[in-house]
Amino acid sequence: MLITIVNGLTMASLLFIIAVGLNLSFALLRVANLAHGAFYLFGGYVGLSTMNYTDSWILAILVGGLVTGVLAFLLEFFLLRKVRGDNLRETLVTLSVAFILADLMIVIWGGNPRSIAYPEMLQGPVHLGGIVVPKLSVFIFIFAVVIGVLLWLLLNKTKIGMVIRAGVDDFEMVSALGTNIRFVFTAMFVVAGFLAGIVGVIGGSHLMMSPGDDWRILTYALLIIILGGMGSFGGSVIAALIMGFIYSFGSLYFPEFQLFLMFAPVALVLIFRPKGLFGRGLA
Amino acid sequence: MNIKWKHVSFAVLGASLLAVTSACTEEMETELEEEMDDGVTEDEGSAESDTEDDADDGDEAEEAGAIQIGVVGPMTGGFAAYGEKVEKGVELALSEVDHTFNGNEITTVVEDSQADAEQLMTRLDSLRDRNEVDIVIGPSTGDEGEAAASWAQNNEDTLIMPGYSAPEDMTMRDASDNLLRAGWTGSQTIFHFGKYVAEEMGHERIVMVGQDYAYPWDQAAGFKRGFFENGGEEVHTIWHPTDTLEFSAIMGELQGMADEYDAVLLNSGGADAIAFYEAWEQYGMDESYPQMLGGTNVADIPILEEVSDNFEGVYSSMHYSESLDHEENVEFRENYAEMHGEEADGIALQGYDTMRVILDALEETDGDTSDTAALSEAIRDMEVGDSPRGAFTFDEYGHAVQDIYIKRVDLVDGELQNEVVETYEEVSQFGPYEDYQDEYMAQPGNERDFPADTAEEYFEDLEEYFGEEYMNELEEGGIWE
Repeated sequence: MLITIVNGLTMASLLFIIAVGLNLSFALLRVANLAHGAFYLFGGYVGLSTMNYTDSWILAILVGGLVTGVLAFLLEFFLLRKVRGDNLRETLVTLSVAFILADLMIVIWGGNPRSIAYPEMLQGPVHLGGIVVPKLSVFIFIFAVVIGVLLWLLLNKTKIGMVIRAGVDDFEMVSALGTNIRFVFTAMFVVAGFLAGIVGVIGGSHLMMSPGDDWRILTYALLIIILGGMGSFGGSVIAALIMGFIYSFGSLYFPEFQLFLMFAPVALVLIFRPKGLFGRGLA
Repeated sequence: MNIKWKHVSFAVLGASLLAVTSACTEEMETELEEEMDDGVTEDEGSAESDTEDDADDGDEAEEAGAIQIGVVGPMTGGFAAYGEKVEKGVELALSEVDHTFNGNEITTVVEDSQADAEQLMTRLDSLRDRNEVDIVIGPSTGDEGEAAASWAQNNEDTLIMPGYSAPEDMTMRDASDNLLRAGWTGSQTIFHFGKYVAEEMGHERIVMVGQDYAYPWDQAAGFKRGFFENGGEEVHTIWHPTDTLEFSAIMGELQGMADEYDAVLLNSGGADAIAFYEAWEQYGMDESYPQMLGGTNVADIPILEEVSDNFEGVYSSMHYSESLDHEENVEFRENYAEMHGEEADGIALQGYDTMRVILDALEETDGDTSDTAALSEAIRDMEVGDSPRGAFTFDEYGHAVQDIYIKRVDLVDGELQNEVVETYEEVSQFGPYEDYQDEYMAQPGNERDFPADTAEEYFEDLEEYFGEEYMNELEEGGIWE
């Protein structure tokens, strides 16, 4: 029981970092970035190559995140800006990028499942009050908390955060007040890509990576956004926790109904609270 | 309607649109490639090169005496390795004969089934109608295999030799004359592993963690038979869906029952097997279970390359081991590594052997690919003596009868490798039930809970389906000789 809760927390931590970036950029840019899953996997693969060359896991995480951030920048700056305001075309652009990336990754890294080696320090289990917990899970949880706190501070205690929150509510008004909203869009998009990249490396160490994971991760992230509510930071946390626990308890007690269990709450929320648990919705 | 949900509906709409578009592009790409291939054939084969692009390539190929062979299997996606490696093996076999047969060129048409039964049917149809090939190598996965078996029954004029698919019914309950397999079945490779684990390793109670679909069920069935009939008591099965990312929950469950069971058998493959072992190490499971056992696909080379050196000591069984040291295997591995820049494994071996079997059969028909019955007969009569896996023949259903190797993963010069520790010779797809084929096939097919998990229930079923005669013979020790 306890161990399952710990597993759920670990999964929730991973899902949270993936979803929160996507959620914020979704809310701000009004674009469902369907390439987010591909970013996750791409970051993982870049981390894998970095790890093989340098043997430094920290560097792998950083490079994975940075390269993916650059990729996100290219996508936003050169492609999305051309079709700004047209929802269908924006979404299609991100979707095409996702397909292109998926094929590119098969060409570069092949179709075999891979996993990233991580430092000996984090290998093996640790005994916490009678239960056995992998050290890596502890690390992932702490990492997610740190990222979460940093993001929360950024959003709520800084001027940039104020602009972002205002932009989520009404970006035209913010723009009219003299903020360079285009720059904020790009920055947010890049941050989301960066987060996806670093989680890719961590996820690639904790689980493993193979073609197709991009779509799976994207589905989970979208489910969390729908459940938690678009643009809601707290909603992302709660929804990630719910999904994490559904995943861990579901795979233990009802492995054959796992997908059903994950989609059922989303369906219920869509029926009774279409804006998501914590979403404020749009004007 | 809220604006937000417009976004979502746009996304869904966009996704389906793009899926359609991408499917079309793929079609176009393959067509383009084929047209390019045709170009080569025409230039070299016939002087009267037709300028019209839509020329029927199948007829032309026959006119020129050239031979076209279809290769189909998953070439993209999570199962890509199972298709790609078969194709690489085929290419190696073809390069050994310079892509010619009696002076005529042999070309391959490669199709991607994406490990999907539906896709496979479309691809097979297009190989038959558009390319007019008579011989197909493929497919490679379980679901595809079952679909291919029914396709074969409806298309008697096409010879199909599976790449890596292992469902036993393809060459058993759903057998057809034009489907022959120089490969393996899920149960064939593991019957004797069950015996080995019970007799030689002395385990009585095993936990088996497996993916919840037909292939692992076949493996579980074969293992249980060998295990129970040779002294094993219980195989506790835990089934999980394929593509499970996270094995923590199962690790917790395994830890809770460590006192009752002797070893864990991982009945899985591909990404799931790697993810399982990642979790295994994170939880330090070696302390609870000193011995890990594996299904046939667990000690695969792509997996050995990904796991840590602690994987040493895992036992499994297969119809091939890369460490076999006879000349044919050494040469095969060298040539394969030189041609493709990667290690050969059982999957590549099967592509290679299948192509060579077809070439030998073509000798019998003087290069005529259209006489499926003659080809099929030639293959059934064949004794392959120079395969890297060791000698093998075909049974009356067209499935390989071959040696099964019990393997242990050892660390040799810093690399994990499968060492053969025991060989069981000339095992057919019926394993020890060679004399009881009808009884074997009269049982229900293998399911997640058939055969049963405990020896007691297992023997009840066994007596019901196989009768007293079998039980007596088993008791006298005549079955597993």
